[in-house]
Amino acid sequence: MRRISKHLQHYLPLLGILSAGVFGFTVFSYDKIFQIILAISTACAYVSWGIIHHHIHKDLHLSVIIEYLVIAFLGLTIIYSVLLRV
Amino acid sequence: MDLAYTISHFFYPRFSNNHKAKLLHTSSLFLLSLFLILYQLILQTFPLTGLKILGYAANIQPSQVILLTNEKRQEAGFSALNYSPVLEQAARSKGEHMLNYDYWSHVAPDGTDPWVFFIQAGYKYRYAGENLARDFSNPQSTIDAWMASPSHRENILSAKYQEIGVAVVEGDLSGIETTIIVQLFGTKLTEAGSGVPIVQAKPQTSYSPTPTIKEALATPTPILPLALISPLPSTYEKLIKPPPVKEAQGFKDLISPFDTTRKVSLVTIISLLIIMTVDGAVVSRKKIPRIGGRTFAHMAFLGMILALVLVAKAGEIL
Repeated sequence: MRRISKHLQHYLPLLGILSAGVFGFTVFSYDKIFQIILAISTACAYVSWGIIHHHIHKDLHLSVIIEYLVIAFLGLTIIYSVLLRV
Repeated sequence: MDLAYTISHFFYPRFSNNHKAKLLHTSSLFLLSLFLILYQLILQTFPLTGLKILGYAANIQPSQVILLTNEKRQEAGFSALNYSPVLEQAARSKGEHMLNYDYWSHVAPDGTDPWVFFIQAGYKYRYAGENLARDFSNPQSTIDAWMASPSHRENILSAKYQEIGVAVVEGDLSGIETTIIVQLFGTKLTEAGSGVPIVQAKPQTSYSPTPTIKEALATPTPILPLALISPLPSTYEKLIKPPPVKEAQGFKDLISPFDTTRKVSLVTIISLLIIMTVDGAVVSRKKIPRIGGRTFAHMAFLGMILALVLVAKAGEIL
C-alpha cells in the first residue's frame, strides 16, 4: 500500500482510464458496438499503462507485457461474453 | 495433507509455484480465458441439440408498456398517446413475422419493411414509427433502455404521434425462447390533416436506420371511405382496453443465457480478485522480489470488468 501511495501519480491515470471506461459503458448502454469498442480501447490503455509504468521503473520484461496482455484478453473475453448475451 | 498442498499451490504464493499463486500465472489465466470462450461456444451451439432449455423469462404486459410510455411523455410535457387496437394488431403481426422468419431487425430478410404491417392492419398513417426490444424481464427496464437511446427516445417523445400499439410475442428465435416487444407509433392520415382529403400511405422504398420513423408521402389518391377509420375517444383513460395479457408462464423454467454467463463471469472475477488480494498481501509482507505486473493494477482492471458485468442488463433494443 505504501508503494501505491508513493507512486500515486502513476496509478491515478490508470484509475482515470478505468473510471472513464465504466462511465462510458454505462452512459452508452444502448449502443453495443460502442461498448465493445470502448472495452477494447480501455484494455489497450491498460496494457499501454503497464508498459509505460514498467518502462519508467526499468523492470519491463517480455513476461510482464504478456501478463498484461493475458489479463486484458481475459477481461475482454468476459465483457464480450456478457454483451453477446445481452 | 497432499490435497491441502495442491490447493495452496493454486491459491497461495509459495516455493512450488515460484511465489505466485498458480492460478495467477499467465498460462493459467490464458487457459481460463479459453475455458470461458468454450463455455460461450457451448451456449451458442446448444440450441442445435434441439433441447429447449435456454430462454429469457419475462412478464411483460402491453398495457404496462403503454402506460409507462405515456408517463414518460407526460413528464416531458407531451400529450399521452391513445391506444390503438389496429396498431396493436400490426405490432403483433410484425412480432410473429420475426419469429416465423427467424430474424431480429426492422426490415425482414426478404425486404419486408415495418410499414407493410401498418398497411396490412388497415392503418392509414401520416406518421409511423417502430421501436423493438427483446429479452427484457419487465416493462420498466424496457422503457429505460429505450429512453437511454436517443433515437428510440425520439420516437417515444415525438409530438408527431397520436396513437400507440404494443404487442408482446414469445417464441423461438434462433433456438432460444425469446420475448419480443414491438411498439408501434402512428398518426392517422385523417387525424393529422383534418379538412385535408384522405391520402394513401406510400412507404418509402429506402430504409432508414433504427428505430424507424415514417411520414407518409402525401400523394393525392381517391378518397377512401371514412368508415375505415374508427373514431378515437378523447382521453387515453377512456381508450385503454388492456389487450389480452400473454404471460410467459411456459418460460419460467428456462435457463437464461445472460444470467448464466453473468454468474460465471462474476464467480471468475471475484475469485481472481480474492486470490490476487491474498497473493499481493503475502508477497508484500514477506518482501518477496519477483518479476511481474503490478497486482494493484491488475485488481483495478478486473474491478472495472466486475463493475461492467454488474451494470450490464439483459435485453436488446432495436
